[in-house]
Amino acid sequence: MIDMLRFDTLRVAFTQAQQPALDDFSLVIPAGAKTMIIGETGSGKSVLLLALLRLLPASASVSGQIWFEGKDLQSIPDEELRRLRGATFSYIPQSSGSSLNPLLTVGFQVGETLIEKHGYSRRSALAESMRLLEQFELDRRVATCYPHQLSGGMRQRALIAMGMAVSPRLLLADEPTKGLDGRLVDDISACFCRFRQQIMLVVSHDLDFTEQVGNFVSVLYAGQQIEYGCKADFFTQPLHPYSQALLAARPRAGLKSLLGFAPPQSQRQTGCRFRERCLFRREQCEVMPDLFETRGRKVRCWLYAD
Amino acid sequence: MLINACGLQKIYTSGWYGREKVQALVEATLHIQQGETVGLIGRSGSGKSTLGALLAGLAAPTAGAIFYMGKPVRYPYKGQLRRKIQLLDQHPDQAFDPAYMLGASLQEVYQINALEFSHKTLLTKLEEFGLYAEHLRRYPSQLSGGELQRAALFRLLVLEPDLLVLDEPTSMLDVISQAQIIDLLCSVQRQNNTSYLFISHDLELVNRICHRIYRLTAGRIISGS
Repeated sequence: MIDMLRFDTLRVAFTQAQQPALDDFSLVIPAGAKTMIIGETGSGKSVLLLALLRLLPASASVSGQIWFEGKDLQSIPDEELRRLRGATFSYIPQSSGSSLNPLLTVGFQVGETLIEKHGYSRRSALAESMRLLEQFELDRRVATCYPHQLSGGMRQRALIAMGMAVSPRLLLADEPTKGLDGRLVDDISACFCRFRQQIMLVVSHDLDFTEQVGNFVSVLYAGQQIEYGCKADFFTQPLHPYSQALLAARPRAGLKSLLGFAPPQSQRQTGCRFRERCLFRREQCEVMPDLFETRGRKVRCWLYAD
Repeated sequence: MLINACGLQKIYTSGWYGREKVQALVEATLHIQQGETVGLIGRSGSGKSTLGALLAGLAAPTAGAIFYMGKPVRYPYKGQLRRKIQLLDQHPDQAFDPAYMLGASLQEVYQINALEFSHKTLLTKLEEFGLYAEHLRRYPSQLSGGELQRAALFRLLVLEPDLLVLDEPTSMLDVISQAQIIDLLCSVQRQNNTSYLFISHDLELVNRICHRIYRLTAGRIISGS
């Protein structure tokens, strides 16, 4: 497989925070791979997607490179990036409540990229958006509704329909199954699985969805990548103690809670960031571990240093 | 009996002269005892959030009645009733004023309800929710969904409510934060005998934490167990 998307030591910091929100993030994603980014809230998952799209606020300082099909997305002109967004890249944002324009009908919003990027007429874009909405079990009449007239789950499905409208080469999705019931999650999973040629980078905290859709899993903790590997290995034998805790906290595994919280940005000092909550803590953990390669996977933990 | 809702109906009207009508709740009857966790499950758009909003006093039912401690409630909720029934929304990003820093939003609840406020106590209590002084200086747009949800839960618990309507309270959270919030809710319930109406579509989660479960389909409660 050819590398199509590559992150090289990406670092994102906000001026008000002393420590970066995302630190030393490197990842290579081959064509057609579906990579799932999982981790605790505030671990930098959404920041990663926004950095790729260059949609971070002006206060953010970004260093490192993001390569897509041989182009460094951090250095291409704004105009070129604008052309890519919505045509080559598609982004399904988090929070359906605030991501839809309250003054425009859902049908218009779903079809807007088709008008802007593919030259559809208003009428044909509306017909296409109705077809897309039906794919996600939304009645055709939903196209004429405004966002406030829909439930959270319906708005979420409308957002996914919007992201899928242009058949992008790179699909970025931030928590696409949030607020959906189990059967709809299955439908969305099936829809995501139909994408075979495209690269998919999906942020999710839904581990069942991750298991159904992804090929690779990258785990973030407190702004750092702490584990990366193929899905099957991750779910059968997670390596990092945090990954093990993640799987143990699922309702089916007994909702086992992990003590404490991830350190806030101002307290991310030297050493392993997970050490305060880790059951395997040792003296060595006062020093930041590298991302070690073991059994064909990457893990940031001293347990796997040899 | 803490809450008893009988034959609740809700019709939303929209369009010119309210000609377009959507019946979100057809007939919903349920009850919640003190210190009980009651689950409400159903598919997306089945009316779960509408039922939660009616119980929390955010909207009046088109027909039917709600009894709190045996007395019928009046809309809008006022005084003690307003404080004793609280709602935690599924979208915490909409629960906070975007123009206020988190610290100001949390302080506001003390001011409005004339509660004793101390910055030091606030910080100590917030640590239990995984929130620190630096979070108080941020705007809602600069906080993650999980951080906002924990802040929203903290703000409600300040009022020591009798009933918390939890509308998909963990749908924004990762599994570890979810387990922590559930632990926190259970410990509050043990201490204060708080009742919860836990609205969710996650049957596995609801089965694990609720004493009883109601199932809602197309605006109708079809089973309670």
